[in-house]
Amino acid sequence: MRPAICNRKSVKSCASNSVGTALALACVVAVVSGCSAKGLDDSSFHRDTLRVALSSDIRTTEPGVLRDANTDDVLMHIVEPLFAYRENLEVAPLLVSSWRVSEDGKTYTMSLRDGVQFHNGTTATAQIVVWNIERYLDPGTRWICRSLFDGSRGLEIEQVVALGERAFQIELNQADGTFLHKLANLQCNMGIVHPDSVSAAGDWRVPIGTGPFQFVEWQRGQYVDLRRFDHYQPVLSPRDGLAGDRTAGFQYLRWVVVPEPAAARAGLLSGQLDVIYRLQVSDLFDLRSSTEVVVDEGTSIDWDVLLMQAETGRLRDRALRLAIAHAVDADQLAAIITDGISSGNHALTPPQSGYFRACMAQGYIFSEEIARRWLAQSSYNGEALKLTTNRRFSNMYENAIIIQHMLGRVGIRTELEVVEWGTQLDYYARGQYELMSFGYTGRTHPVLNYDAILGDKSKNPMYQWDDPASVGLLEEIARTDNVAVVDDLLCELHARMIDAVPMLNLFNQHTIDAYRSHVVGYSATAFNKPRFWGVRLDRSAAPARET
Amino acid sequence: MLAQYALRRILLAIPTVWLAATLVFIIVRLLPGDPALLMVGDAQDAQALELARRDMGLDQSLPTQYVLWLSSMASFELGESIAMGLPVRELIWARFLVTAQLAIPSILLALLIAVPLGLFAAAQHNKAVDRAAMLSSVVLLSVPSFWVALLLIMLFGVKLNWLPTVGYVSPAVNLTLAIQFALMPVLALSLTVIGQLTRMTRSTALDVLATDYVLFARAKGLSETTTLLRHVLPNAVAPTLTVAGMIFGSLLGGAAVIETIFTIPGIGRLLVDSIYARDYPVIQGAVLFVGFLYILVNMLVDLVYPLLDPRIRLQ
Repeated sequence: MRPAICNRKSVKSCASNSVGTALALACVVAVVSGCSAKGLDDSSFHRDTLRVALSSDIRTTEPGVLRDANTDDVLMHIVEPLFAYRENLEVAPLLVSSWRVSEDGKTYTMSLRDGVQFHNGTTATAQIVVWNIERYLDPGTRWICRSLFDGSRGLEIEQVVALGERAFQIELNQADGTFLHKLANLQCNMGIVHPDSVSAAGDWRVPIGTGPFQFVEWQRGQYVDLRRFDHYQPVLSPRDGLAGDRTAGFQYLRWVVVPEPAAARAGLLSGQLDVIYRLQVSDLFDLRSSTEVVVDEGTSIDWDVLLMQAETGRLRDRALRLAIAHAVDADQLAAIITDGISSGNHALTPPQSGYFRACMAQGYIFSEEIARRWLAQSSYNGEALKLTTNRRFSNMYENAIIIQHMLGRVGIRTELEVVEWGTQLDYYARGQYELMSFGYTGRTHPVLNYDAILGDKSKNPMYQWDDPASVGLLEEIARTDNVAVVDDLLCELHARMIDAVPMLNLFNQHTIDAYRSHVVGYSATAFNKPRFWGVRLDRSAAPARET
Repeated sequence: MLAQYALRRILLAIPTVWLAATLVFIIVRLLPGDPALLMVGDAQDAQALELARRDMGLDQSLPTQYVLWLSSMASFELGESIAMGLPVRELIWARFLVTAQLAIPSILLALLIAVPLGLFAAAQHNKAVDRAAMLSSVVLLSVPSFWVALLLIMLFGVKLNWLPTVGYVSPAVNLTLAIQFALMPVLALSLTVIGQLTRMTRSTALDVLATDYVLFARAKGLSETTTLLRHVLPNAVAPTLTVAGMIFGSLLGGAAVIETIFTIPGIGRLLVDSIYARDYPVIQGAVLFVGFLYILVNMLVDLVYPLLDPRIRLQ
């Protein structure tokens, strides 16, 4: 791999080289003559390297801390959690080979996969898993999901003990049907790392995981380099979502930071990048005309919503909220925003989830007549409602524009307030909005989705639905492992939500990824995350370029 | 004399920089947006949010934050990035060096083209060459740099496949590659600057051409080239240099748009990313640094004046 440059240790060499660049420009003509693509692809590094665009730099190499989606994307190729999700959103074992739950649902006994090694050659043991869980639960680690397991939200991991070389036991304070989902949670990124990842003083060093790729180098603002882990011990089942066989099919994986979408598209079209992901529909115009680029589309579990401040102000009026709900054609909105990939969904459960039932298809009928009827019953006086949105996430902005038009057709005036994303998030956290075009990162279990919106608004204004009876239902679902009962309770919860109209769920987002035709085996996932295991490069016809 | 002048200018810059820094401190905190929330996202975890705020020092009062920051500024530490956990000083310096690798060749290239072109256009006043030069300058001035950048990418990167479109390579690693990667950004930055400098050079050269000493030079039989190079250029270049200094200062301060389009980890992109992440220490540190840089560059231009025109004396 290429050595690091312009890092904290070598700034002096960079200073002298700025002058070097200036002088070298005098030789522009001579250099340009040697700039053809063929002159750049003569090393094995290029030929067996997959280059993927990251829309922003990662924040850290420490799993679950200082996280964002891009950071998670990179780190999930290096570390593995105990459990991972299948494409149908079910939980499957990953680092664990088997597990059993006690009668009372409070004790989980698990056994590690045989022969798993860390990137430093050490064998994964139960003791190391125990060390990891205890470290994650230590407030000093600042793990983002600690509150899911520390009792502050009900569930608490009371004890973790190693039972032998590979077996360990987790004891909970209460039975929780979503415990394994929480262990597999994408945002939590509870990857198991070797203790050498942390210094003796407890400071984070580098991620030494068990994943299919090992960490090589992070050049801030530029790229993150990973290399295939040749001693990777895969799960025997085939690749399925984020579970199954994770064996890497190529040598190097470079994540290149490309913040500008147009530049990322140009990079893909010119062959400088191999994969770009999490695209918007508007990105496709350039790409579809290229014969060397493959576009893969699907429905993701992320969901778009219209938030309504039902606690204070004019939208306390349920009739007005119902008028809005009936005036918005979620199917049409989804068709426009996702290029026909998704359709409207008023439920919190995504259609591809194993928990999605017919009852959840019941929502608000799009009817301008019904909307006008509810509007007439409401206290709405014709004054414009403020609809907050941002330009950073084009789907939220476009949703707002179309919703404004749809509401206008039934006589509900809205005024768009376009703010920077950081500002909008602040408004969201404080509950300072009337209407807000927003989006949530998808969770795999309906309970986790409801958990994000249902709760006491006086304590946490981020909650959208403040209904103690529904909170009770949710807790009951979390405690129950009887599938039929869970189904009934979820249907009841959905019906209560539709009736209360605390917010308007619109549709599940699309996932659009694009890649060069020599990338074999790549496909988009419902999690809107790129996955580079099970992928190989066939460059027999296509040369590569330097990045 | 020169050293005294430079020292006085630097001392005078201190209150300016402090004022700018204080304004930035206030403005940044007036911005709605919580860096802790941006970090925690939609995790709905009030405890994690509180912990993040404490880690970032946002739980302290504004006066305390200000005093802490002023003291870190006085010691040139500038604090630690709350989004990246790195010392701001090192972060800014590393990114500045990358930006300098674009800004220096851009301004040099622009001067190399604009000064002769402006001079030549003035010498050919109201002729076809003059009109063509002015038309191109107006076009270059009117076209936004990001559009030029995208056109260059489409042409040289995608259609012709001659140059890489994204990324950055340091000259320390591979000089040839570094130039290939820098060509398009440098060109995109230079083109707009060329338009500005050509117009400025032409305008001042026209004034000089109308003076008596140029008439005398011609009358004594000097060739047009000699007249232009020996008598017109030294007298006409000072205002161009002033403008070039200001442009250079702003380029060094970060050509955020170009850096974003070409994926160059310069100081402009650092600043934009920090604003998005509400990374207060980096925003403050970067603005402070850019302000200081601007003052420094303009001071250097002032110091160069007497070398070009002995009539000018430093006061």
